[in-house]
Amino acid sequence: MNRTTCEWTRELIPDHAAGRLADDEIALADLHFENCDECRDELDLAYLVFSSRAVEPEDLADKIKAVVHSPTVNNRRRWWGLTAAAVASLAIGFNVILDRSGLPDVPLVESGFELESENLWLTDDGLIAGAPMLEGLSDEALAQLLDELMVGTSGGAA
Amino acid sequence: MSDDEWSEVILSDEELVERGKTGDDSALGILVNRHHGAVYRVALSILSDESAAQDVAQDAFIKGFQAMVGFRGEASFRTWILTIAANEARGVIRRIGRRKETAIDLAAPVQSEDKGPDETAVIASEAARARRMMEQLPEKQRLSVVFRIDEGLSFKEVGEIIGSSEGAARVNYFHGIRRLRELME
Repeated sequence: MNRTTCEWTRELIPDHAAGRLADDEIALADLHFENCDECRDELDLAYLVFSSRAVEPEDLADKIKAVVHSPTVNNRRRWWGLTAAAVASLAIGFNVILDRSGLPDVPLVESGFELESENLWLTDDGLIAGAPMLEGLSDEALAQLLDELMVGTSGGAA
Repeated sequence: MSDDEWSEVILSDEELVERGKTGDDSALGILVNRHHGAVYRVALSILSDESAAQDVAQDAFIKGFQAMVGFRGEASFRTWILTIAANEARGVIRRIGRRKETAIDLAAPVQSEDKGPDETAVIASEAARARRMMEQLPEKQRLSVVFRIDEGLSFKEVGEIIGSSEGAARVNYFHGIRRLRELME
């Protein structure tokens, strides 16, 4: 069988097995399967894999929404937003101060989180400034921290 | 059709994320509806534990929504939330030490019109065996197969989630399929 045709078809096999292909693509692929046992076997295997995929519990979405919409989580979400904004403001302010003093760029010290996560697949989630350290703080503690940050910012700029 | 139902149909993930950032809970609910199944399956494929996978799915959405202000849209929301789920699941494994090796509830193969009950039963049995054999694949190969076939992710998206390039994700997928064929023989 033509190698290029096999390669093209094999790219489609996962979506073919899962019923995600358009009719014209199915027709072309099926034409190939009639003459290629190798690709046909791979399609059969992909179909077995897809048909044995796990199904999520029926009530899972409701459970997640109940937690996501709970007042505690919503409150934390607001504070995370405010805290991230405050940290970003500080970072910008700090950068401006560095620029004015003419100091060379100093590499940032790696945080403990980064050091511990050597084998992690890093995400935006893990890279949000201060997020891991702020996770356990109460709303009151976060409010106090925010106040201190704002005072520190105005003091530093002056 | 209610406003929420209409939004569920017409709004893209990106639009829902923007609404979610402004505190629109119904937008977040729609994102949960759209992606909770994939998030659960990603967690389950890493943990092999249904209860733990549900917890991870819940935590992934909580963390994702809490961090939504930092979501820059460089990846799709789906890739982003699945990556958070994968990291959460790997965190659970680090804490408990290893994957749980138990049978999990699988979707029953659809009985097609041209297959009788006997043939459907054989397919169901083979499908369950295929899923068990997948447990023997190295993690990145197994996840590449799961993400590509179960969720229909592109190799670029698979690579973003497993921490590899698009090309490496493709290689992992095809190696995984080839190894699975050998195991099934």
